[in-house]
Amino acid sequence: MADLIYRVNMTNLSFKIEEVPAEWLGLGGRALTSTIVAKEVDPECHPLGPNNKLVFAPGLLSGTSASNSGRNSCGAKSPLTGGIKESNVGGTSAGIMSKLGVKALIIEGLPKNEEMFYQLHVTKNNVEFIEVPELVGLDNYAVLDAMAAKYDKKVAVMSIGRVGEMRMNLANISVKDPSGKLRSHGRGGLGAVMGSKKIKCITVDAENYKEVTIADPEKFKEASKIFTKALQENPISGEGLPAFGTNVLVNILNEAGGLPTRNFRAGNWEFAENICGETMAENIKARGGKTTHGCHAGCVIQCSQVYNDKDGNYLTSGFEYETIWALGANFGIKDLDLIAKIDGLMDDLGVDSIETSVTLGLAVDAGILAYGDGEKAYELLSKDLPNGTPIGRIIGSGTHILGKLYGLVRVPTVKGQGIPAYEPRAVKGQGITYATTPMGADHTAGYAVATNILNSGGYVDPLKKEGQVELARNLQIATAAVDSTGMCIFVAFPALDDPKCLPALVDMINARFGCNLSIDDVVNLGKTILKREHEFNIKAGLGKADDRLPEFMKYETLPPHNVVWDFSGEEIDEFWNF
Amino acid sequence: MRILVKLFAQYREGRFKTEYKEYPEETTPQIIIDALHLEEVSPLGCVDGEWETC
Repeated sequence: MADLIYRVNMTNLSFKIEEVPAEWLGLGGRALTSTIVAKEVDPECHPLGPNNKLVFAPGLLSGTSASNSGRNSCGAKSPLTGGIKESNVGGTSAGIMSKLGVKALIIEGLPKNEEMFYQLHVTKNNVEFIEVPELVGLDNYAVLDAMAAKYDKKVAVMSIGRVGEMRMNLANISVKDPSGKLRSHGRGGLGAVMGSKKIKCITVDAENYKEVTIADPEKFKEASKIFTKALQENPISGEGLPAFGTNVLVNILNEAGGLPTRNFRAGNWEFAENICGETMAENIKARGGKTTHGCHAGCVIQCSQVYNDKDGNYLTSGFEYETIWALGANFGIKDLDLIAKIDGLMDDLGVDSIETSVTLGLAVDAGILAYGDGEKAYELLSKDLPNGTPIGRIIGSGTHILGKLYGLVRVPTVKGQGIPAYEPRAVKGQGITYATTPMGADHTAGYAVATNILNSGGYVDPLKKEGQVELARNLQIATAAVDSTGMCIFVAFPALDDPKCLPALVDMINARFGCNLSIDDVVNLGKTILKREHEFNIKAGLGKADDRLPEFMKYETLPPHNVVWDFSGEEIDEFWNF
Repeated sequence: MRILVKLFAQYREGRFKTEYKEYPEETTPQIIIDALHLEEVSPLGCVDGEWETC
């Protein structure tokens, strides 16, 4: 049976099932969420008002047996950036939506009753609107517990915590993973959009449906085998990430002088060893955690992990480099266990662990916290933030607004979104991605670290300007395409270096749908989507002046390389010349 | 000359995290790598195959 569009109207609590328009048939994931947002959302609308829409779409290969294909995209106009947003996540939702035959779930309107929150329960050809006053004021794990008690079977759960109910910019949408823990549609304040629509959680029950059909099963199986082998044989996706997680990057970026430290005042940190992936792996092994763990079914990279405290009690999972960097080098916490405790808290609260932690780094400059005072940060996040005290709401507004409120100049944001984990002055290709991506500063949008630092896809000197615009452009185009397939972004490493990987990915798409796409077709899809997102942003009022890094990076030299951000506006704008 | 060698990730296993050692003036990264008996070194921060000069 063909996939269908499930369209929910929160204004009158109704839904309808629609056939997929012909022009959307070849789209999935980010390509579909961005196309729907661009077509149906007024770029000038208020992100938390009645005219914004929240769109979920599994990738083209989600729900199949293809390795690492379990990503689900969520899109809307972002309350954080004011532009278009797509954020994709592992967990169980992509697979379950695909098995149910949901091509996209589009949520529009706002309920008339502002007091009530709802659970949307999605089943075959039906969406139930359930009033859930008992869930109001609860955070994510309590919601998961309530859903586990309600449904004695595997259902996907997407939820918001109290911060999302209060529509703060830090709010994410949390998704249940295969182990019953949480993954996140993290960036851009999508949890605030869900909160504005008064949706506390969405559950999806695929029942016994398996609507994912494969047009050519033999061809699919063959391509899938080649693709999996490429993932497993690549030194980054097959060795470094499984052994040390993404946190293997702490020491690498520190040595490269690209680890932002003390709110972007230096490129390396004297305590990096305390928080690095090697230390993390040692702790996990000694304490009975898990060094490898998949965030979704079918993941062969297994870069996630389960991190316990000294007594063997669970602290967090999905413990990522960017969060550890932000709370560590940038905010100053030297104790990895305390960072893990805060990471676990942020999962439960449903806040973007990057935006929240970058905000804490700036809060030091604002005089709210002392550098490295993790205990006070924990108190602020566990008490003030979810209870909506004035200081909690200031932090909950994110880095950019905190900077405005405190009259700060050194505010590390692009398009209002906090810059993550890779110093643009010392990893210049990444800086071009931060400046130009329609998503606001987002490392995943075009991961130039791969070629600037990790020698994946060749090598472009991170400290020189030459080749960076072209590198960031090619990576952003490729990423827009990969984000549409439902694939984890880490497939990019073998795709950049193994000539068999990308053809196998395209072969799987062709075998799934019975089509005959070429690699060029897939690249062209990436170009189309990127331009579509850019066009939305221009209509939303984001122009060339928003494609810029913070000015302080132009005149403050960054140790140890003593470099500045030295791209002119004209050089950056060349990015869009394709 | 006295050189600080830092090992990361799997290269630490059975070896060390950091170690200062005396090397002759003409020492290249390749000589240090050979002495450590590292297999399949991932070249970071220089062009692939140019360990002699990077």
